[in-house]
Amino acid sequence: MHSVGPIHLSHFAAMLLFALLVSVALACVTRRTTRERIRYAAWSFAMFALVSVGIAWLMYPFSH
Amino acid sequence: MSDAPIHDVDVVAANDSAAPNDATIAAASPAENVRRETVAGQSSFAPIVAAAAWIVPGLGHLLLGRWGRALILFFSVGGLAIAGYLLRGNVFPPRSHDPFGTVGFLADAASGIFYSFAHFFESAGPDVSRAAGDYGTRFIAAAGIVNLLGVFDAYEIATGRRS
Repeated sequence: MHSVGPIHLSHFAAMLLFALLVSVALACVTRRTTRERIRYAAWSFAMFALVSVGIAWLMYPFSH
Repeated sequence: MSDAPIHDVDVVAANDSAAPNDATIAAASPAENVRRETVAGQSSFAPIVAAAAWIVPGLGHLLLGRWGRALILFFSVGGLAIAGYLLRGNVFPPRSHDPFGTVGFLADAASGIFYSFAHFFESAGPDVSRAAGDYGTRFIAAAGIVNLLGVFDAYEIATGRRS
């Protein structure tokens, strides 16, 4: 059986992938209707991304 | 329709704050009442559903006829776990002398069958010297935690507490 090689993602891409998969799963489990799920997944994904970028900018001064 | 299943429906409704009240149940159509009785009758099936949901993410929902939720959970948990392996995250072994290692194993093993895929997707072993490997460790643990949420959801559906 052949193995699969590693993938290379930037920090931002890895964060977006994580946010997407977790948001969809949480929406699926916590909301009952399709419309609610779509809205919750979109909101959760946006919050993941916005808060991450916000925290990154807050930490920026300490990186230099 | 007998009175006994209706009593079961009332018990289920009383246990679920999100469930409709008695007036709503009384006004429900016969088809809706039959569906509620069927769900309530699956409570003895709940442990099997929970075990299936843990072993194969989404299988518990599939057994309950929730195809959409089953597919979403399978691909979400699988996507997180496989991405974590491909990022060369750390997979915690069953035996660890470190309490954090034990907790890590429990989180990783919660992804069910995907835990056994680690060696296939990560034949070179973990590499947490890079940030990507550290992210991968979080992806793998998150896959298990998300699957646990799916297990609880499937169990609650099987016991009739959720729709």
